Amino acid sequence: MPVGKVVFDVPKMYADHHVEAVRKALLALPGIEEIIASSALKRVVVRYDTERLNPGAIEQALQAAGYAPGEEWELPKLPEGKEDHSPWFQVIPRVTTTDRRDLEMSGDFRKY
Amino acid sequence: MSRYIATRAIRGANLIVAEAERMLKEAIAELGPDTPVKFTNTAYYLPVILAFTGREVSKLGDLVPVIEDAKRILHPIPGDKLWLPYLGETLDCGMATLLAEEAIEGIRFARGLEPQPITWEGSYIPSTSFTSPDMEAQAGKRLNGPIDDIQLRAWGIQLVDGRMPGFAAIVGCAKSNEVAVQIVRELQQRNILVFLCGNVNGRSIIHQLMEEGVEMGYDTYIIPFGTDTIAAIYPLGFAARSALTFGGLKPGQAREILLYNKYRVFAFVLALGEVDDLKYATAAGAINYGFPTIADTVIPQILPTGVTTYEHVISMPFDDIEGKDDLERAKKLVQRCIEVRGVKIKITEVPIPVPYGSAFEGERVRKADMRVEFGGKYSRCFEYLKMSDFDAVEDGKITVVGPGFEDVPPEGSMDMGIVVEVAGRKMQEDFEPVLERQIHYFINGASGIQHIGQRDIAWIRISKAAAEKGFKLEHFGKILYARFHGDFGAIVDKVQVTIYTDKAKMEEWLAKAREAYDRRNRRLADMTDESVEEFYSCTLCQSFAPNHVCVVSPERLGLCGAYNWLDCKASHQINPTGPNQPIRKGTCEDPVYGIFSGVNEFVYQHSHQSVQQVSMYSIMVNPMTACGCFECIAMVIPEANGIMVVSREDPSMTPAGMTFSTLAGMAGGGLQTPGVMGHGKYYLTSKKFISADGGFKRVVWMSSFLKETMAEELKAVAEREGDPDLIDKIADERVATTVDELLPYLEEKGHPALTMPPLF
Repeated sequence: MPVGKVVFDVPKMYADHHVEAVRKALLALPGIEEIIASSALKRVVVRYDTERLNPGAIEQALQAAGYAPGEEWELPKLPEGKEDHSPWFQVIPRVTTTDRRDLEMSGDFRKY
Repeated sequence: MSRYIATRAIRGANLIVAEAERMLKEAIAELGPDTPVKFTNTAYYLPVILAFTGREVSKLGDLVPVIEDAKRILHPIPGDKLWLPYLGETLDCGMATLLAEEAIEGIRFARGLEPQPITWEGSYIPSTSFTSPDMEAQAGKRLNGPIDDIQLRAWGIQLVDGRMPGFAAIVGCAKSNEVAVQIVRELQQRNILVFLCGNVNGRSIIHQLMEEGVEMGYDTYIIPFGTDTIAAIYPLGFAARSALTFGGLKPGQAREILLYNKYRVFAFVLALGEVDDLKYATAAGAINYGFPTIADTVIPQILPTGVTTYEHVISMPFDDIEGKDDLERAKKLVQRCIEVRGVKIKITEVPIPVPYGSAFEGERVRKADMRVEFGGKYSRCFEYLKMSDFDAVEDGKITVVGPGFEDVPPEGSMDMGIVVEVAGRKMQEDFEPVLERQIHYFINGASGIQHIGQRDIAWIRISKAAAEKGFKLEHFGKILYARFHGDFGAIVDKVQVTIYTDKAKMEEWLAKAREAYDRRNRRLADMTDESVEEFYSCTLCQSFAPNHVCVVSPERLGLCGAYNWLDCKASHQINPTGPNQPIRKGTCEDPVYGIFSGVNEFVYQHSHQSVQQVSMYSIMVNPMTACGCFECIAMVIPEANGIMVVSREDPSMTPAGMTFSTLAGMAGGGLQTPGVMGHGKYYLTSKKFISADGGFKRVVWMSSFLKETMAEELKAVAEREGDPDLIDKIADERVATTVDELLPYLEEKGHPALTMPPLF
């Protein structure tokens, strides 16, 4: 059986629940031999039976599942002027100066 | 601070908040904003959101402001060229991640997608025990989802007394199944709770353990939450609820809740396999709690201390760990985790051929897996601990009198008696039953051994796996010898164990044991609050509930049910500076309400001046406070002129309009709430049970679980109260879950509470 290998960068796959979704979508295709989906690298490596499957069909399946190669998620717009007025900042006062004790305690760790 | 980690965590946080917002919009459009959002069996709504924002989320629409909260604490992804101190931003983003993750789980619940379904594979036998009662029908098809309040409280006492030193949240997938099992066994042997979630390339440690036939569930301390990182919110919700349940903290006290976790909940994250943006972001969330992360891959480290007690993030690439094989590497990885979090562990070495630890206490041995059983339906088994003269006990002597189980056919049974003789300068006859009761826990700690019951109704099973590893009868003796010396060394100097399987000898000792059981029953029954000069305190739970003091008297056992007056006395002898201190009763200021000057002084002093007076025998006037570990909650039902008693095991609605979980919020945390009281099951049988308010006859409603499991004891109480049919007159959840249903029932049955003087 001739086996082909194709690699896709899938920026939307930033966490393991996306890995599960991507694998589920690809495993439904006939001729899939092996899938290595890495959410750390945001990359999918697919080994497939070239007689039954082609890279175009794999890309299409990714697209249909909402993970088109190269496509990024849209990030939320941050609210303006959020500093200091949000409940979070009211609940936990922020410390912006380095505590002397922290400095002494950190010692050799500073080199890291 | 590592710029790499900050970048990835902040990016992960931004992405997950965006995803949660998108999911929420879709869910609201599809299902409507009023669709209920509810985790299983909890009074804490979505606990992380509740704890840190004070928001009570009960429907999809309630999640909208939560997402706004999360967005408000997001920060922009660090630029490539400008280097800044990022810790604050990263931690903020970690918290935003947690809010978003819990919102996602809430949406999944609304859609019926949680707890996550899973297909069982390999030899794993699904257990019903790890699902909440609501989910029992789904057992074996779904993972655990969030831990319910019942289990949180059941573990409470173990978390505070150090039997359960902390929890490990394992995210991802181990190098091999063998390594996965070894990591979990190492943690189990140290009695650390193991929470599982996440995956790497679709494979989770949950799958690995399933394939290896590892029993997962509440009983074995291994909880499979879900196969993605989002499910890591459940252990963090568990931690947040610990602060609310036991720490007496209120929703919204974000800083205090985080500090409580840093100093009192010993938890860490173990990331197995590659670490993606969301894992970094979730780890940042965990660091807020003071929980460090240890990864078995190469990632940048955050070593300076500060938010966590020791290092924040540690990288320990698995293949680089020095060791002769992967099993040894796994062992060292776990050791490092424990060191980084500063988990305090006390282990008694038990020289037996199977693993040993409290985490194996709840393990069951099914008939098909059983090599041999003692007691139960087909044979008899008893255990008896007696104090003997110093010279009559040979320390460490373990004898088996009679044949072993080698000739018994597989899955067969045989008679056995375990006789433990102890001697010690500080040993007293009163301690015999206290020590004897420990046999249950000690023997159960061995992997592959199941112990049920006590005295002459003990029932022990040895699994085939344990027998194959070489477990023999003499090992019961070795366990008991090691544990009695380890745990009770202060009162026990010598321990000798004899195991009888010889029929004649066994009968002879059984008769002696029964005589002793009778003698003890009479002695305990005769003991009253008036007959002693001292009560005992129990402040064990102050590590969790700082303002609570339990006062234990002969007629009122500890509310957790684990400590009675004799236990406390023994505990004080063993550890004179420990949590069980004698309380001189002092002047009796009111014999009816049970108000003693000595008790008041002690409680005032030890509750940080928050409780001024305690009445031992009343629910209405200054009732005793509770930590959170109570077995039952009693609450006044004004319309019925009586009280209801709901047990921890009962998830149903009560006539008070609240379930146990909701009620527990009112009864726990060291608060004194007249009309509500947490107590131990066996306090119900005491003559002093709310005697100032009319006693047991005030009970108008009781969980059927109590009626069934304590049938004999409650019957005796009814007879003592002069109304043998009283138990039938008490309603339960099968006949009444509202006051409107309760009152006609009580009238029909002629319940005495209706004609008693008004409660207030």
